[in-house]
Amino acid sequence: MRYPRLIYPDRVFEPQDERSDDTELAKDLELKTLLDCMADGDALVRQVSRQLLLEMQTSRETIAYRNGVLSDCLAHPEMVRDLYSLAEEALGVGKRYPMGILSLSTAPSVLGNAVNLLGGLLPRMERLKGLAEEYGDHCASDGLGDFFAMILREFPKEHLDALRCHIDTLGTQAGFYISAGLGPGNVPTGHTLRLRMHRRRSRLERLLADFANRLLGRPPDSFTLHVHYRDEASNVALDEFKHRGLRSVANVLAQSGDALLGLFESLRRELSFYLGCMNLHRALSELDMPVAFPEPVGMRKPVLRARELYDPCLAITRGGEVVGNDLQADGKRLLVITGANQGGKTTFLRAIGLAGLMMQAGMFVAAKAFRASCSRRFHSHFRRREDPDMEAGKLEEELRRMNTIVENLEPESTVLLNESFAATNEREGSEIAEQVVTGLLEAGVRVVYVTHLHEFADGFYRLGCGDFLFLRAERRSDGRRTFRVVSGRPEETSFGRDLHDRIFSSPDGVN
Amino acid sequence: MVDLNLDQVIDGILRGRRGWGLRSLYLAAPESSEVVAYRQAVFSDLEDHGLHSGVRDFAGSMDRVRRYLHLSSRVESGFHRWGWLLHAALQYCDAVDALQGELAKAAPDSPALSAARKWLRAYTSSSAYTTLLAETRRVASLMATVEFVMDIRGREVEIRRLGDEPDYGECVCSAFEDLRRDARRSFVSRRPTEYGLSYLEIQLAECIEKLYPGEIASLADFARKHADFVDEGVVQLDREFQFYMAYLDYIRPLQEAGHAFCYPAISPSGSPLHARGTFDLLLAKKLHREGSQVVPNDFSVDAGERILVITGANQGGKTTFARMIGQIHYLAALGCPVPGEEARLMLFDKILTHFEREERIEDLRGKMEDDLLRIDAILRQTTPRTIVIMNEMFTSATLTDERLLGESILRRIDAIGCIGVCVTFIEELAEVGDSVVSFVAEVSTEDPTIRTYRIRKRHPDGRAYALSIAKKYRLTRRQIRGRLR
Repeated sequence: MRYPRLIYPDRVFEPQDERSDDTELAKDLELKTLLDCMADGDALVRQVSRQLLLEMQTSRETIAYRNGVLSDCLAHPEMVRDLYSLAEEALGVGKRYPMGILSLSTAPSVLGNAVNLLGGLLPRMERLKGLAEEYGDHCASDGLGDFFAMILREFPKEHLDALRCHIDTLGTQAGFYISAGLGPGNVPTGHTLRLRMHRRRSRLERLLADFANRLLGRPPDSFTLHVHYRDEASNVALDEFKHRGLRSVANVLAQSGDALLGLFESLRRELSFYLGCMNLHRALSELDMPVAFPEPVGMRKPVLRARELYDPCLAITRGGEVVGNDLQADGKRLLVITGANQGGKTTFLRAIGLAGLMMQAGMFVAAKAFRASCSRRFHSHFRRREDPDMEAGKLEEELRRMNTIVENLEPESTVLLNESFAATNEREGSEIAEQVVTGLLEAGVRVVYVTHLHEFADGFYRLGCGDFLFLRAERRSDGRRTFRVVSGRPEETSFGRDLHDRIFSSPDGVN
Repeated sequence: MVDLNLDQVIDGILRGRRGWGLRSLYLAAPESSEVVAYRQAVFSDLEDHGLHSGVRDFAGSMDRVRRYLHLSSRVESGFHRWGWLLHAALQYCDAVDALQGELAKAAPDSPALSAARKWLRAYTSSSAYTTLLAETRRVASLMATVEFVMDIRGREVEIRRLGDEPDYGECVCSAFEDLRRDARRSFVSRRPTEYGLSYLEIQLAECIEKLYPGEIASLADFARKHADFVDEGVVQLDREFQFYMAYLDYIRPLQEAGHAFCYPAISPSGSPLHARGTFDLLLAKKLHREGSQVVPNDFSVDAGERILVITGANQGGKTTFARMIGQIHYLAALGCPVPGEEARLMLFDKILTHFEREERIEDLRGKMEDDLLRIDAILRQTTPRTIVIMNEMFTSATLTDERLLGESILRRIDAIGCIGVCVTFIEELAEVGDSVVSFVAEVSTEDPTIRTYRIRKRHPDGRAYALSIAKKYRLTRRQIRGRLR
């Protein structure tokens, strides 16, 4: 029996312990909103989706593998729900008959528990097989196709019937029928559970047989002993005898029950991710926002091209009505985004980050089309605005965070910088930014940098490097923002004046 | 013994082999080259002819035989007493047969082992043994047919002979075989309970006796006839093997780690001695446990040389070197293989040692007097065939006193004509006379504070001494730097 492999082509998915606090990246990209939408209240969906979004899968084979499973799931949502609730039911049975918890588990008690557990799980296996029969032919993906084929192959009807028959026999038998031989020192050994072939004789029948034997001078063929309930040593010996006779059966059945339970547990875990994807897919479709399976390319060369790329979190919180951006940044190792405040720069940065995470998790992305190189990791360095009283230590705090990022940095990663090093004056900030960005680029790291540091941005612009791209949050001549990001030379002002003017001129004071 | 760490070595050798009276064998080094040759031949046979594992198995089996016999003597019910006796006899016959096979196959050269082989062949063809073997096998196969069934319902148990009821446990297990994923995980915990103490078990034994009267009668008959089946000669053989196996088991891990052991040649006292690549056994053991290797050293005493003066770096392995000379002579006299690639050693009448006493005597004069008295006592017992090992005499004395006393003692040793080993700071002691030969604990040429643990036969150069005396007072460049940090 093989456990389902819906997440990885070559292994089962192992959940990690959820880290207590959010990573910087999850916080900066507002992953919480996305996960809330995916989980729809299911903690497991949330945990697994989070782990996979942050995993940054770089194998395109694995990404394609998950795309395949996800396509099947989107085509047959009722199948996913049936499988998922079946797995939950089976796990409910497992909760009722827990095993391996008690430190002193005697064979008879383990056997009883295992028989009950398997009694509950085997019918669910039959239903799983029913689902495999129903959907097996409709699933094009290797992940689901192989799983269904395994179920059909390994659990033919006769096999399942035979297992149920054994469980029924063990569940209904009265007492135990155990044989033994004599080992070293004539101590009973080789305790074996036997199948009773004859009806147990009544007391009267035994007495008559005994009498007949005695009459004919034959040795008796059976003895009946009674263990007194207060004879503790004898009761212990009797328990030990049962324990030895049932030990191997109890163990095998417990292992089997455990394995089946593990199958359902694994199924639920692996499916939970796709359930999350389905929830998100439904939510975005209902908002009429486009989604597409992305086209990942290798890590070597920087590739980034998108049509109508948007931030799914913003779409969810706003209820649609977000502007998508087109982007053509193939071959660019550095993206510098400047321009108007409130012009959609941070949103754009998040859209790039989330699309990367979702693509490498094997999901669809929030865009009409998306083609990008994989990144080893994403790191984000966003300016923290939450603690304004600590202005003084702010630059140090930023540098400390940057230091942590660099400590964990690998080449072919992407670093998302949002207004980094703006906690000091423009000259110093630009100097630091230049040092950091140059260092990162030289180390083979890609950088997307939203910044107001004009000296830095324009200085890099003037270098005229072919693998730098400069983008600007667009502002119409009338001062209105389009929330589009277009390419262009960095401009000196960041249009804060517009914002200032608009807020102070509108009647209610807020937008 | 304590000074040479031989007590710890012997404790290590005898670990897990109590109750054989082996310690006395290890504590008495015979002064006889015949005994040494006799034992060396046995060691060599055990090592070279692959007899090692055969003899080890034999020892293990004999251990079990004794354990079963002990159980047999302890249980009250005849049913179990006979059972244990039968089991002991089975094990005994297996052990004797296997050993006989091993000895016949290996065809050992040593007089001791070929005699043992002959004796064992005679014993195994004696009628006493062949009868025992046949009877044991017959009764054992009879007992193997005894199988009963317990039909347990609540506290009522019906006991009967086993018929043709199929093994249902096996049937269920094979049906569920493929379903398991982790066959190693155990859900059933073991609870060992001692057998045979309850009323139920006594009754069960009685029932079995009645259900299988013929089989049990044969067993009782066997037990009556063969109550004392163990031959005294076999017991003796087992004990004597232990002496050799204990030592071989002790040095085996070291041999596997690449340490050399050799059979030393024995030369008459007064003739040249030497050992190549030898080491302190206890230190090697300790370093081996810690995952490192001991540094082997050579020593030699040529014609006319008798007194080894060891000087050089503090903590440079001087004491270990002196100890090692005593150790290998002792082990050689026991007839054991000794650490080293090659060795020529002498037999001694005793090894006398003077190592600094643990207890500190406040009064310096008292301490010096005590040292002198002890050394005098040692020298009075010394004969030309003695080995005297002295470690750091008179450390409490002034340099002048120490040199004066040292010289006088070395002269006395020289006059007696015994082998002397002397560890000291005083380099002048190496110049006392023609019979004195100097060994120096070396330091690394690049950095004098790095010790190599190599001891070479050469004249002292004064340098290591200056360094070690500085070190003694923590005044080397490094130490001062370290202290001022």
